[in-house]
Amino acid sequence: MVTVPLHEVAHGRAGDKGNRVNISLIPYRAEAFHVLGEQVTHKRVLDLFRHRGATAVHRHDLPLIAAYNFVVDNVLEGGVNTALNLDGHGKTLSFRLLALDVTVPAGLLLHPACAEDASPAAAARVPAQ
Amino acid sequence: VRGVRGGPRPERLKVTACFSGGHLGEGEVSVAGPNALARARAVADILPERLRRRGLEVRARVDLIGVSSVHDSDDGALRRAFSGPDPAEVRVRLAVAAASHDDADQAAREVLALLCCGPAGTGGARWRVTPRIATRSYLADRALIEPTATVAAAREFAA
Repeated sequence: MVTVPLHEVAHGRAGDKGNRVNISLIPYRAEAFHVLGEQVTHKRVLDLFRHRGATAVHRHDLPLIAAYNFVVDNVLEGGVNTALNLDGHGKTLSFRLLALDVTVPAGLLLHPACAEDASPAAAARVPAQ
Repeated sequence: VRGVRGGPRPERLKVTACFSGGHLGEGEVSVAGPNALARARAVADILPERLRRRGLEVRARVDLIGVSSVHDSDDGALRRAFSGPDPAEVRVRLAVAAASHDDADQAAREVLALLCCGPAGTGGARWRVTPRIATRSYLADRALIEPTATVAAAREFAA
């Protein structure tokens, strides 16, 4: 097992609607779907966005396409029309999620060789709770 | 997802209406070299204090671009928690929301003052004010809505 930031196991995209953001989380290898589901809980994701006033996270599981959709409420500090943030849409927030640490079998990594050389990514990590 | 079903078309349609939404003022300056992060932090502390002393009616936020900006909150929680290495350069950004163009403009121009009376080596000031549009959504009776489209070039609006 190796502990790595999510971005070594999955990719994600984010988009806005009002003061909400939704973030997809799609493992590069479908076999990673269940282990990510155990570790990337709505509670951990809410903790990532609490500093911005997020009030709830709903995770929608899509096992037939091996993907998750996280809907984060009240995270955009007003939304694109009123936010002061440079990124009013929250498009960059997918990579806050992808910095979250997960512990997975090395074979689930996009580039399994990364397991031996995980240090460059360490600075970007959000420690496990 | 399984068992997705349809339903009858709705009798009311969503209408998004646009209103004048005040003004966004933005000002930026750069710091670079030894102690860039500490000097950027000083700039980030000084700017809101200058706005406060001037009594400008604005809601403000400060970003350290390259350190803490798009992932941060308006109150700078990630900026204060940042403990990474000293970056080579930081771009400091002040953003304000104001009802009046003048308040947004006066606030955004505060970055210029820091070239002479801010931390050493602060430069590259730029500022701008952008009008904003606020939107609200409503439901309207379908019968009241007649679909049409009008295409106009941006120059026609500017004229």
